[in-house]
Amino acid sequence: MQGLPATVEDPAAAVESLARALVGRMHGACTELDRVDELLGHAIRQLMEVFTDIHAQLQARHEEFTAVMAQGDGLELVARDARQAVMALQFRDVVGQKLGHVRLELATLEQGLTEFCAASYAGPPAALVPRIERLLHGLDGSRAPTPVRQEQMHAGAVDLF
Amino acid sequence: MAKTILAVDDSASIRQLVSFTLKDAGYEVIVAVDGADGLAKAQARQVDLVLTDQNMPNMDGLTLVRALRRMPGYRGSPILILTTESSPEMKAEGRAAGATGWLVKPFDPGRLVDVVGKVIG
Repeated sequence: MQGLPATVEDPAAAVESLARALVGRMHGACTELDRVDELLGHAIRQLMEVFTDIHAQLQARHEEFTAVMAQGDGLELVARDARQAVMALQFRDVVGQKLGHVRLELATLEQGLTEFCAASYAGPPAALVPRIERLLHGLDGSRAPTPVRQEQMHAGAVDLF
Repeated sequence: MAKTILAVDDSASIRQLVSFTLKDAGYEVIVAVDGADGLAKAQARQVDLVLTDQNMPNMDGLTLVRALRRMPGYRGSPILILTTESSPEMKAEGRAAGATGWLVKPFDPGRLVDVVGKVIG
């Protein structure tokens, strides 16, 4: 990491170098998250096309399908599979929100560190303290929205007011 | 005559899944891509129920609920929020805004149809 040799003589410069390096890595992490989101979106779009096609075919041949499936427990099994498919296809939306929360956290940290780096430094290392306090205050002030909990990913909670 | 449901969500896959589910249950479904689009469609045509996401560009779900509740045609209409948000604070905000209910994604199709049937009468 560049700038570290200055650590002993100039701790403030070393802290700023560290902050700049962190900003760069966080920017990279955000880009990776965007890519994950894009790949998920692509996969789900393809699955939705298949699902839409199957749904259209079943609608078009509804009577024929019902007659065949009425034998045994075929209809019940198809209904169960369709229900599970509908829930699984919402995966993209739920994960997308979680990615958004992580991205928000990273963006807040990136912004705080960028502001920290941008402020001009003058004076002894102790002058860093108020800047670090401002950064911590800014981070404390931002809270990510509460994400959906694991148990709610199995079956959607319903509250009627 | 089939009752009409306005489904508002910025996710194309959720719009499609909600449409499949509710159309199969016998409802007419119209869709909107965000709160602003939803408000315009609700103004253009009176619907029997609005089912909206919360986090959307242009206008979020709670803002849409508040805007609809100011319109005479929607003061008593059922409005459900369907979202991945699950915090009690958000739910309380939804209730205060005038939402009829709060459903957390992923939705179970059978359960969605049951809830819609319950609130739409």
